[in-house]
Amino acid sequence: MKATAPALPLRLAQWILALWLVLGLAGALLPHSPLLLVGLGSDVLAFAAVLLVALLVGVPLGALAGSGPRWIDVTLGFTTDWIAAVPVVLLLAFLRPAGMTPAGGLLLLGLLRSLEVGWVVRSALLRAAVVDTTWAARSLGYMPLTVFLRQRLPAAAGPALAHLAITPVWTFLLDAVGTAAGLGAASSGRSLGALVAGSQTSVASSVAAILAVVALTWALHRLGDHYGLRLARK
Amino acid sequence: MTARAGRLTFRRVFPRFLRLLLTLLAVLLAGFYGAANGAKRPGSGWAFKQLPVFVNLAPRDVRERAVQAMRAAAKNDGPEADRARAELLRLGGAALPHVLPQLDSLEPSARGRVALALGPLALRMRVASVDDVATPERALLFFGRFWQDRSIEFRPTTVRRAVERLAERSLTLRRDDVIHADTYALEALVAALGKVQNAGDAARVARLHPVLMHITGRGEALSRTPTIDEAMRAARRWRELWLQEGADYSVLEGPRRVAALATETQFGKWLAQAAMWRLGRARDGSSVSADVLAALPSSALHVLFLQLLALAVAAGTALLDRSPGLWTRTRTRVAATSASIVASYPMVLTLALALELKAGHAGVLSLCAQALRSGDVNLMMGALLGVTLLSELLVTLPSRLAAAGHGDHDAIEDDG
Repeated sequence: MKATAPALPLRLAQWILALWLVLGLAGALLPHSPLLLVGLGSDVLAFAAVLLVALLVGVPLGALAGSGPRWIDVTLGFTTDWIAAVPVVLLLAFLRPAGMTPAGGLLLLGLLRSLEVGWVVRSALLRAAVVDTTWAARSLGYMPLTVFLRQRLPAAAGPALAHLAITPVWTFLLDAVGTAAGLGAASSGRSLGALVAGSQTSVASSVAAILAVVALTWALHRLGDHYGLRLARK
Repeated sequence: MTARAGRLTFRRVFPRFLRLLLTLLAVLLAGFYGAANGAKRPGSGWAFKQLPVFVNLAPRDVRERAVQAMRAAAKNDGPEADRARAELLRLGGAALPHVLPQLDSLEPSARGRVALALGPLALRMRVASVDDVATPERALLFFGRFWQDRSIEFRPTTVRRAVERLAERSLTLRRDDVIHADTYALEALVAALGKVQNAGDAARVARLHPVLMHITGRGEALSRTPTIDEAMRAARRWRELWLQEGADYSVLEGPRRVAALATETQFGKWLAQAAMWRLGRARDGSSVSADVLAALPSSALHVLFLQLLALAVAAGTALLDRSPGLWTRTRTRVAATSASIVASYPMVLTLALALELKAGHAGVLSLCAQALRSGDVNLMMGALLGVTLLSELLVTLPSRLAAAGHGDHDAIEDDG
């Protein structure tokens, strides 16, 4: 009984992710799909791109800031301070020049997200350094890189994955608020966020879109929790 | 000797203050880039959109404009030559020290065409009769003599003295001395307007205003004894004109040319406006600083509401948990939520913007979005300044709570 209790939410999370991928691909590939399905298709691509950029840029950046040269930490701290001072939706509108391609827009979105992820990884690494139990091993001649990869980076995986998991809600909110404010959707004008903020959308479609994004966030959080824990245990 | 934790010391405050300044600068630069992009659309009302945004590697001054206009005006009739002649008249007396000495470099017929184009200017300067400049030959003869006799008057100190005399007392001779210099005296005239605070200042503006109107062909007549408000408005309009077109009437050389790399840009002009007139005016004519101050409380309430809601939910979930150690658990969750709020502060601000849009209470966030949409640069930058200061102030609450949760006040320096 004890073994099945955590397995059920995990299985449910996997099903939600699979369902999102299937419906999203259908929405992206099938012609004349309903708006909701088109939104799912657009969001699957956007979430995947933003998550990928955030993971590929944010984690190494945070790792360098948390354990590398001091100037990287200072620069990341300053950039985070700067970005924290204005709503992301306005920042995107400032930085996105006219005529930017959708791929460029997603890259910009991913880079902004990676700064937040980088800061979370950096903070987790600094916390791990405080309770570092490996100083004795290091004093005996172990390579610091090994210690870093085996001890500290896995300790940062949990918070980083948890933060990455909220990317769908983050992107959805940016799309919705950007559209409502008349500044344009952050990822795509066909996204679920833009659909919800649009004036002609029915309540049922809006509720379905919100539920879909919340369910995906929950699923990613659950999966991140599970695999983050496994990584930390290794 | 180290300072006690939590105490305000120079060592703690200075880096934080420096960081705030740098953040403000970075936000303003990024925001201005967006605002300048937004102002490109027609009808934005931004007067400086023809300038580069941040750096002007080739600032144009009166010398460059005058010589270019002279060469174009020397050509036979055509739309380009007509435009150049109009430009020579607009540049006025300020162009003469650069045009008249170079007339000899043109072929005789071209020389006559340029001199004829300058004819209306000589009439405006009240230095010639209509007959003097009626034909190319006469005009050429007139301007040759004029420059021989009067080139010595086209010196900054001479003109400044003439303007000072006019500012003290308006006599026909004094007025004519300034009118003879035409736009060459514009800088000294605008500077002589000074601060308008009392009746004496208003009288000074009343003396200078008609001359400025005559030289530029712009503005509306003031009454003989204008009120202080009327005089202030008039002085402000002339300063605005100088800010917009000042470089067209002055020579940029030496340190001034170096400064023009930054000042003759859209950002430089906005900064000058913001410093001179407390963030300037919005497109609808309202004062930006007043608009932003009126909108700040609404946004502050929305952001505070969201922060307190998140903290209340964190505390509530701790209460629902029935395991022992309620106080420690609540503190831990509140600290963790506070840290999350700090990390996701741009999202908190985005949600506050959503609340403003939904509730219809115009705060500084929606003001910023609205100004960005319409390309109103002054309002957008003023609102952005308000947003930045507001967020820097309000993020202190979750920062403090997160730091207190870790039992380390210094963490604010690192995490906040």
